[in-house]
Amino acid sequence: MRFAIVGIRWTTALLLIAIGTVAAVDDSARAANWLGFRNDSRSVADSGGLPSTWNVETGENIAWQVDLPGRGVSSPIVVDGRVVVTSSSGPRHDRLHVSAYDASTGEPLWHRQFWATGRTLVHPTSAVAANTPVSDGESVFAFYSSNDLIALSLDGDVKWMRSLIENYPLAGNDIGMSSSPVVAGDVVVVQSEAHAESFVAAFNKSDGAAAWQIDRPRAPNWCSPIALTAQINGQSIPAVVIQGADGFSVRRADDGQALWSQGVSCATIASAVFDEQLFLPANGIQQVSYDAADDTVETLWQESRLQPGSASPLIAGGAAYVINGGGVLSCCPVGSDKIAWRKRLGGSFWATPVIAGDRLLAINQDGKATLVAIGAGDDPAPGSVVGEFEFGEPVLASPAVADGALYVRSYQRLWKIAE
Amino acid sequence: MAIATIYRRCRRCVAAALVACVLATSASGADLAAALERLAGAKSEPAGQSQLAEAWEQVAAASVAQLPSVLTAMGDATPVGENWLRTAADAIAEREYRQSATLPVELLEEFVTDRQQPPRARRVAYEWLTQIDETAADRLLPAMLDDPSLDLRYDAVAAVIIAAEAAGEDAEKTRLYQQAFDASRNVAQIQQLADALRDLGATIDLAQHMGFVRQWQLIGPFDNADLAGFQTEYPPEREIDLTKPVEGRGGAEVRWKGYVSTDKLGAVNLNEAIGNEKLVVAYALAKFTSPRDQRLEVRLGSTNAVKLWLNGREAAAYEVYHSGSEIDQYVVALDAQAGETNTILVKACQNAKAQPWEQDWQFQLRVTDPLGGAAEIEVE
Repeated sequence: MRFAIVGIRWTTALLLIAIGTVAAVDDSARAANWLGFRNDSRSVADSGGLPSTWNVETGENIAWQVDLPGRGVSSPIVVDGRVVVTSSSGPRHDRLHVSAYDASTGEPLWHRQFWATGRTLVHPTSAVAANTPVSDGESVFAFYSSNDLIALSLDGDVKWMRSLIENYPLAGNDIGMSSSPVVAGDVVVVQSEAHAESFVAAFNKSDGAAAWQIDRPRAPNWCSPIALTAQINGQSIPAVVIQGADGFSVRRADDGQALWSQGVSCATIASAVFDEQLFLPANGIQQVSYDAADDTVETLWQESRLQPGSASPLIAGGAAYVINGGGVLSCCPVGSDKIAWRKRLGGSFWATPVIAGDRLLAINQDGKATLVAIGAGDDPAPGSVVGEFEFGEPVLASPAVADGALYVRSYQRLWKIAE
Repeated sequence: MAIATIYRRCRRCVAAALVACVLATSASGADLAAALERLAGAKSEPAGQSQLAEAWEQVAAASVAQLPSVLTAMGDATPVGENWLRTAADAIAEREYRQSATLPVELLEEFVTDRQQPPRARRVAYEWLTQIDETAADRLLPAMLDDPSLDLRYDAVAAVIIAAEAAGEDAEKTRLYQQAFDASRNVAQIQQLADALRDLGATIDLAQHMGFVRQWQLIGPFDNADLAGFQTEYPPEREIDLTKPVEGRGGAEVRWKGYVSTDKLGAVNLNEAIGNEKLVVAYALAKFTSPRDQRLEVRLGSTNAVKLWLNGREAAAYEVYHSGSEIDQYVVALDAQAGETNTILVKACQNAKAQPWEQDWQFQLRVTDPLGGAAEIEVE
C-alpha cells in the first residue's frame, strides 16, 4: 500500500519536526542533558561551548575521573544531573553493567550488574557494551551486543528487562553489535542486524511490551536508528529512521508502519543525521526530502566526496562535517559543490565528533583529541587546529557534552572535562 | 572431621538459621518469599513485567540480613530471573554500604565458600566481599582452583599465574603454571598457560588437554551453488555407511575417508582434506563412547555455515558465512549413556569466497564436561 500525506510536502513537514527524545524537555534541561548516542543524532550542543584546554596527566580542567566497572565503547549519557554509562566485564564478557555518577562530583550513585543472555563474542577492539544507552528524561534504556535490553529508573530501580535472544535465538554476530536504541513517542526502538537474524523492534517504554517488530535483511549492519517527530496534517507523529545497505525507511513509532522509504544504499556503520531535514550517509552525504502528494523522494543535495568512515557525519550551522576512513575531516556547506576546507587529523576514528559553539572536537582511536575551529571568522580560520590533547588510551566512544562540560569515555575510564 | 571444618559448618548452620528465622518471623517474610519466587521465575515476555517491577522493589527494600536468601533464590531462577534477583541484591548491598560503610563480612564469606550455593550468586557475594575486605581475595582464591563457579576459578587461576610470573626458579614457575593449566577452564587462559609452559620446555598437547576431536571421517564435496546446499539434504543426512560411495557435486562419486587433525587446536581443514573450492559442502563424522552416564557439552567453532547432528538428531544450525570464528562458538548439551556409541555429524558449507577473508573452510569441535574440561570419553 502506498503512503500519502495529502497536501503536505515532506520538506515542509520536516521543517516542523522536533526531535522526539527531547521534545518534552525545556531548553535549560536540554542544555544539561545528553540523552543518547549523538544526543539527538546531531552530536551538537545547542548552548555552551567546549573546554579550550585540558590535560589528563596534570589534571588541568579535569573535573573528575572514574574507573568504570568494566569495558565498553558505548557513550556516556547525561540526564538530570547523572552521567550514566554501560560496561561489560568478565572472562566471557557476559557481566553487564549500568552505572550512574553524580555529574557534579563524579561520586557513584548506583551500579546495576546482570548477566548477558545472548551472544557475547566480540572483536578485541569492541565490547558487549558497545550500544549507547538512551533516556527519555525519566528512565534509562540500556541495550547490549548480547541483545539484552533493560529499563531502569534514574535511581537505578529496574522497571523491566527483555532477553531478545528468546524471541530471536540467532540474533547477534561474532564480532559485536553496536546499534544504539532510541526513544520515539512511547516506545524504545532497537535495531539488531546480522547474518543469521535481523530485526527492528519497538517496546513500550512503560512496561517493555512489544509494540511492533519488522524483519530486516540478514546482513551485518551497525547503524543506529534515529528519532524524529513529523507534523503531518496537523498531527505530531513520532517516527524513527531505519537505515541499512538496502535503503532507509521512516516509520511510525506507534505501529512501525513505513511512512516513507527509499532503496538508496546507505552506510552500515555511520548513521543518519536529522537537523530539520534528513541527511543520510549514502554515496557520500545525501540530503533527501519526500513529496507526499506525489509519493516521490527528492535528493536536494548530494556530495559524493563526503564519504564517512566509521564516525557519523555532523550537520551544524548549515554545513556538513565528515571524517573519512583516512582520518581527514572535511567541511562542506549544505547545498554546495565546493568543499570549504579539509584537515588531516590522522588516525582512525570510531567516535563521532561533537560540536559546541564554534568548535568541533574529534577523538581518534588512539585517544588523541583534536579541537578544530569551525566559526565563520578568520581568526582562527575555519579548519584550524586550536588544540590537541592526549587521553593516553584508546577512545572509541563518542563523547557527550552537557552544560559546557565534556564527558569522554575510554574502554574503562570516564572523564569530565570542564573549565 | 577437622575442627576447622566443624567450625565452618557450624557457622554456616547458624547463618542459615538466622536467615530462616528472619524470613519466618518477619511480618514481611512471606511477602518477600513470594517476591523472590516471582522474580526467580521471570520470563522475558512482557506480560507481568509491572508485577516483576513491584516484586523487585520489595526485594530491593529487604534488609541486608536477607541478602543470602536473595542470592540463594538464583539457584532455581530462569536466566532473566537471575538478572532480576542480582540487580535487587545489588540494590540491597549498595544501600547498606551507603548507610553503614560496610557489609556483613562473615555472612558474605559463608556464602562465597559454600559450594552448594548457586555459582553465579557466590560470585556476586564474592564481588561485594572483596570490595569491603581487601584481604579476602588472597584468603579465598587458593581454595578455588577447582571451583564450580567458572568466574571464581578464573580469578583463582589468574592469581596463580601472577605467582608464577613472580617466581624466581624455572622449576617453581613450571609447577605453578602447570597447576594453573590443569585448573583453568578459560580458553584464553589455557592458551596463555600452554605458551608459558612451552617456553619453559614443557611438551603440551593442547588439543588433547582441551578435548578436541581430531579423528574424523570426511566426505565431500557436495554442491552449494546459490548457497542452497545448507538446506539440501545430501545422502550423509539420510544414511551413514562408511563403505558406500554416494553422488557428490556434478555427479562425481565421493567416499568417506579418514582424517586426523594435526592442528594444535584440532582444526579440521577442509580446504586441505576435501579441496580448496568454492560453493561446496562437506560432512565430518566422529564417534565416541562414554565410560559412564554423564552430561557433556559439544562445542563447535567455525567461520563457515554449519549444522550439527548428535546421535542422528539435528542439534544446531547456523547459516552464517565468515563472520568470525571462536573456540566454543556454539555449545550444545548431550547426555551420554555409559558404553553407548555417540555420533557427531558436522555439515560445513563454504560460500563463493568473494572476499580475501572468506578463504577458510574449516571447523573445530571439542567434547567437554559442563565446565569446559576435556570430557572423559573414548573417540573411535
